[in-house]
Amino acid sequence: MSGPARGFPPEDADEDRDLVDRARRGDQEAFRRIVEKYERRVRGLVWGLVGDRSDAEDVAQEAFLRAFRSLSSFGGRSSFRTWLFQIALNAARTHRQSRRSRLQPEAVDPADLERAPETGSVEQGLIARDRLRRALGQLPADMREAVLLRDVEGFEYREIAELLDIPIGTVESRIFRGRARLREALAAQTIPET
Amino acid sequence: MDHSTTRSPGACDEYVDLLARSVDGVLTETERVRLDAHAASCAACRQALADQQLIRTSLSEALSLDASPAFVARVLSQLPESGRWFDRLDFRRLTWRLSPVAAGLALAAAFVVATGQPTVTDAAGPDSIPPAALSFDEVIESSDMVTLLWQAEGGQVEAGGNGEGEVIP
Repeated sequence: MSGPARGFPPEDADEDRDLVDRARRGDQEAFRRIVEKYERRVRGLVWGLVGDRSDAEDVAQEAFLRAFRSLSSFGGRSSFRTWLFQIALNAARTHRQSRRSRLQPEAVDPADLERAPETGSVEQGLIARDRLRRALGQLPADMREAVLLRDVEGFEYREIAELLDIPIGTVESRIFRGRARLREALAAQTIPET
Repeated sequence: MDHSTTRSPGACDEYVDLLARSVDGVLTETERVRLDAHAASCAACRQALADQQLIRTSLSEALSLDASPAFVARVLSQLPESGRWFDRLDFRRLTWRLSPVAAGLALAAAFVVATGQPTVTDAAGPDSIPPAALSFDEVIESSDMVTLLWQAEGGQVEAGGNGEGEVIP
């Protein structure tokens, strides 16, 4: 079980630069390393954004392929991870626009069953996660993006401001209001009978 | 504390930014002291703080995924065997770098035309029309045009204060 807000170690930027340079020169092993390094985070973000787990895998894949095709245009003015997550955000937005779908209750993921929650039974953990994901689907997209980038991906506030192209005060406000609305939505949900 | 004008339910408007950042552990010492002093006398902000903390912790767990070698393999299987040479060219950067060269050539051509020295020997004889030279502005315009056409193909330039934003596909 991962802790809250994963964050990024500072040495990541140097490693990314090296990997991007190599991948640009056609080194697919370097690109494999990039995918391995970021796939969990990108899949997690996209899952939260689009709601459906299966769609999220496709959208995350599309994001990595877009990144690969556009490596030559990455100028290094922002960090690679910021650039990559911006591509993922764009891919998820495109998907949302095309589907106009809201989060639907999903079938239980077998991987969830193997992952023991920190407190309570496996069943309670599953219910809690499902309720939270449903509540997330009720959030406006702008709040959802800000909250996920902070609480799931661990981006700093200034990085989120850069990613979403909004002032840092707006980031703080969206995160606060997003979390508050999630809390209200959770409180309003009744625990489904099992 | 009057909460009738608060934007966020339950919490005091002027403490919203501190409440959000407090659970992320990014408050300065001054901000921390200020928030603690306020929270000591404001039950609504204490509750908001607890809510923020709860969501922050739970959300990370709810969307936690294990590494997926299958996903990595799927992405890699979609890559071309080896990129074609023109796929690797950065046309935006090339356009930018070659603009001065193009402008220089255009100025040279304009100079030659202005001084009346023929540059193209045409079998048609002395009545043949010399090649048209572009003005400096026309050259710049045409190089910008390449960038615009490229963006129209789907490339986006990230909004940035200095106009030097990254390209976001």
